[in-house]
Amino acid sequence: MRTVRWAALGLVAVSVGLAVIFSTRFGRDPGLVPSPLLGQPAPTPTLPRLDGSGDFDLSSLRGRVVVVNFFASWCLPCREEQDDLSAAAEAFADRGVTVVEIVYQDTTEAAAAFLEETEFSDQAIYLTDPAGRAAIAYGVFGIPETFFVDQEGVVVGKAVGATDALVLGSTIDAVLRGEEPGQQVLGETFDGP
Amino acid sequence: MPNFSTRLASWLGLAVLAAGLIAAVLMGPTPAEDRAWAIGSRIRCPVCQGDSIVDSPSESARNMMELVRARIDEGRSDDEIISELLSSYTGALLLDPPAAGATLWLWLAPFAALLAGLVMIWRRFEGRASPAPPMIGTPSSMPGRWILGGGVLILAGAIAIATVGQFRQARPDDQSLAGVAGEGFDPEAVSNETLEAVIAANLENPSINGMRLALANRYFEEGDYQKAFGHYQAVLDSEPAAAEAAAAYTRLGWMVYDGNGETNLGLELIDRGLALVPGDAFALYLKGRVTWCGKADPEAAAELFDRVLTTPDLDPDVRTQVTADLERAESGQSC
Repeated sequence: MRTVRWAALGLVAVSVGLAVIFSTRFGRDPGLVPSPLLGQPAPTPTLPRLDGSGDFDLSSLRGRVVVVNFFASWCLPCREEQDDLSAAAEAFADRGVTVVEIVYQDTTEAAAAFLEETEFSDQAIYLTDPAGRAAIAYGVFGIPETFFVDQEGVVVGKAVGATDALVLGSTIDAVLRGEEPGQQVLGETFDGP
Repeated sequence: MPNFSTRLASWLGLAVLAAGLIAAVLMGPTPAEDRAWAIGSRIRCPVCQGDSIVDSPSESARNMMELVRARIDEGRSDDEIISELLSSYTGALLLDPPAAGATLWLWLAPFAALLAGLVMIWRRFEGRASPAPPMIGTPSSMPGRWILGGGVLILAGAIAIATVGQFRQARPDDQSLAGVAGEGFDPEAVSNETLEAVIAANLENPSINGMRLALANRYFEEGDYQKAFGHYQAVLDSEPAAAEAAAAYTRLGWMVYDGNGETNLGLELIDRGLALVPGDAFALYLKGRVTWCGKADPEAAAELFDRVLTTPDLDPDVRTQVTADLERAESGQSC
């Protein structure tokens, strides 16, 4: 009888302890856990171009380093990083790097206006994402989020929050050297206006 | 014969167990109407806290449900569809942890606790029916231990409920200046031009009001009434929440007085704000200033300043300013 009581009380104590542990962990943002895509083949959906000039197959970029960025006109940090993304697209084009920007939960018109207002590059590729399939495939929690894909088509890096010239330059350089930069948390992300 | 405390503790223990069982049944999966619903109810909306993609109205959740339906149409199995989603979002996307591997014990522990509780109660009643009952009334008697055990059970239940409550807590509705993560980005540091551009790109979106008010208030504080006016007017045209409308009316009232010298219209607009948020300290102060300076009525103004000073947690600098105005108004000075 005494053994049973102590066992029951012990079970209750363990349950209370676990409840406390869980309650502290539930507040953590799942968007900040390392992406399971790191080290895995990057999704290569075929998506419509933002300018309406047909579809683009992301698998056609195999052999190049690809920077995949999700953005929207309503996303404030996206405006912060847009100039640097365009500059990176220009600066690294000759070194086998392509910047792909995919519209996240925004209208084509608003996204196009956003690029006109900020800075766009002829070297970058701008795509829309009907029904959010690309965002789901990349596991996007909020934007801006940027993925770095190596020449073999493997996701080797992810940036959560707004990037800047230093982050983009150093991360792309690391991928070109064959390194795997992993995930960086740079700032806040947004899931809607 | 067990005393009242013993019986109470026993019934409380049973009540906690019954409540746990009922809660488990109510919160568990409902019979699926279709496969998409059944799969969707197991997947957590990635941009929400605790809602499944079936329950969440967010665009992300809607897109994921569309994907689930499309995969079903393609003939994929439930496991294949869930695995596809988990491959990009991690296992954190599952509302129920897998009943295997490291999380298997999460499923087994409640049943073990239930079994232990039933054994305790069965032993208790078996002991009562035995010809040699334990001594009652001594320091080591059964009632004391049962009360202790019942108390611990109730405490565990309360903590568990509080934990579940926190887990189910929804995200705030206003996403305009709130994000998922919390590091590095400061909306205050965004320039007026950037805020204007974001607002211009989202004119049809009512949730832009928070950002619009933040920008309008910034213009208001800078004294740029012309730019502030349009944004406050747009907020009022958008079927805003009461607090948003009150903020707009209050500042519009001050601007038409301060900028155009229209005392009566200014007071009317501020009163509209006060009708929506009675006792708002800022509105009362502005009304006091318009009453004092525009109406040349220091006595009425002093009453309003006095009401402002009754506001708890008033900023010390504001309190100093209002106190000084009150003293001058009470002495009958012009503003």
